[in-house]
Amino acid sequence: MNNQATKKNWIPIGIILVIVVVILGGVYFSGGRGSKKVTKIGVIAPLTGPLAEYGIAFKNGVELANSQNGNSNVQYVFEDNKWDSKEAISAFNKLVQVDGVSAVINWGTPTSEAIAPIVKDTVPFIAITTEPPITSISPYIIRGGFNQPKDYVAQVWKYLRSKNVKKIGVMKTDIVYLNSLFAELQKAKNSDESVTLIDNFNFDDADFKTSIGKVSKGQYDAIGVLLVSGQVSTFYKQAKELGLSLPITFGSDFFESQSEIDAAQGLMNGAVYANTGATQEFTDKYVSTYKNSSQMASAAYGYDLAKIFNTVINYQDKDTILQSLKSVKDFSGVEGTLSYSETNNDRYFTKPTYLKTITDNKIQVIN
Amino acid sequence: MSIILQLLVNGIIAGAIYSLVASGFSLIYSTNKFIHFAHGAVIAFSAYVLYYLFSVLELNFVLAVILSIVFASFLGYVMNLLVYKQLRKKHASYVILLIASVGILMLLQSLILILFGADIKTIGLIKITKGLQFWGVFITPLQILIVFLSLILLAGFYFFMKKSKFGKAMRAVSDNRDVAEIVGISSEKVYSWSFIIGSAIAGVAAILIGLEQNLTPTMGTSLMIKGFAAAIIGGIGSTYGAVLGAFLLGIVENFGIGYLPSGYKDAIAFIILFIFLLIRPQGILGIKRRS
Repeated sequence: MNNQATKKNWIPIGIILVIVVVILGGVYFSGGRGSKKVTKIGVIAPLTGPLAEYGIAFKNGVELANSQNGNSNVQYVFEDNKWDSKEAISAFNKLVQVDGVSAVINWGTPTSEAIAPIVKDTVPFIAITTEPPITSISPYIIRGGFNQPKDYVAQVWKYLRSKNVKKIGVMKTDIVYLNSLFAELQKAKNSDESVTLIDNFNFDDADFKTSIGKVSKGQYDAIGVLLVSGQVSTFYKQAKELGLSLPITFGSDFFESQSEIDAAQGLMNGAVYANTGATQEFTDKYVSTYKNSSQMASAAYGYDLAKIFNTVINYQDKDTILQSLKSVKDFSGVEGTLSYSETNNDRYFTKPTYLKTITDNKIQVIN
Repeated sequence: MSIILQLLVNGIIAGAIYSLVASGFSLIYSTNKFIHFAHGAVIAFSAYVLYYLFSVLELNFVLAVILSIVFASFLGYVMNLLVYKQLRKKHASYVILLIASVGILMLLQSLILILFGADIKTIGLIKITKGLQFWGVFITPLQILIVFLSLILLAGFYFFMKKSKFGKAMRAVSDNRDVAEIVGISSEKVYSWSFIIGSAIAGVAAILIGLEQNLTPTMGTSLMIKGFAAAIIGGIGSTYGAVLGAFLLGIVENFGIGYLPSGYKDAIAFIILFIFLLIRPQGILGIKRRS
């Protein structure tokens, strides 16, 4: 009996010892050995959760770039922010304090906004967001990624005006990014044009039937489908089932999903959207590697950022890293030409935005 | 008039979907007396299994449906056997069981993501066409089937619980486990079977919801939130009450967003929930327990 009790007491001690050995071993093997100095870059993206499709594409893009950079001393440490602010903050703290990364990239607006106040002067932080005020929080924050709302709106309005569209109705999911696109659409309208919000949805809504009734009442020349992944094809499907003939429709980069287009069974054909691009060569390479063509723009951006980090940056200290990022000019990436730009208190990377359409269930670039 | 009718039909369709979730969940709650949040993940996982069997392996649809329902039952059985039963043996409280169910929900969601990827999936059996039109109201044949099946479930539950020997055993365990044990009813057996039957209903829900909506790894969570609200409104532990609660929730939500922005949909659901919790905490068909 006593013997058994002693054995039981040893079990937790044994488990603790194993954990300690694993941790120490991990620390030793992860960077304590060898003469080659490795620079770590932290990448935080939604690898699970509702926007995982984007985060995984971004991560794949980074890995693809790094795999082509045979002799790189740059190592990427990935963390999952689950599209959740609390997760993003702990991921940032872990990357900076435990992994000792030299810079951090975070994918997503709300998660970047959550991290921004704790960046201070720790490491250069690339916030992939469309929201300019974020860079005023710390001089070490630079904004990157996504469509810039002004570029998006310029492309979309140009197209809509060429089709003589005057009255736009918008179905929108209530997230910061899509709210920005909607606000810019309204700002850019002329006096004889109108942009009306038909309905505003929650992130996980999958039933648009009642709102589709509001679309048919409005007699719009064009409908903005500013919805997120999974919702876009559902909207087209339910509109068809309710007998609604949609006028011209346009969307956001959430249209850049082959699975979404396939789910809509041809109903998205003719729709337009503006987004950043990816060269055909990159697309082919990516598809052959990952057997997936969804969120190509997000993958391309991950790829270009990793190329910049692998080839352009001087890793002497955090200030030289920041200066190197700021010196990026006419970098020839798979998205087009990337440059650092600074206006007032905003610091960001510029890149071209393209107008795209869906034809025969495939994405085509119009210009 | 047709707008009001369309809102009513939209509400009935939404309610039917919620009821498919709420009925299985409520059946499990009625005997096990804890909130099995992982029920949503059983629905999501089974929908993905149907997708895999039918769209990837290209099995016959009927066979894929049967296998998906069997899978759902098995998943429920295994969850009970490996997690909940072990916790019950250690006299874990209902709060611990609830926390375990949230853990299983997250685990299964992550597993779906690893196995099937993050992009949306569609079963793709039904070609998208204009719905059938009656008195200016549109409804698709699949939506009619969903409503019809949820009403059959309502009737089926009523007779199962009231008339069948096993239903009576479930009610006995639900009412007082110790007394049920004294008269020879094995509570563990009842727990297991409630998971098997409840999860089989989740399998049916998975098929119908999977045909109606896109599949996403997190779909189980959002379905579960509405299913849970419906079960509370209907009277938690009362399976046919859950079905009624689901229809009430669907109809009120759709009439609400007919006049308010859709963003208030969840708020409407929770306002109804609060009203019930304040005025009739036992729900529509729940029994008021004496303190």
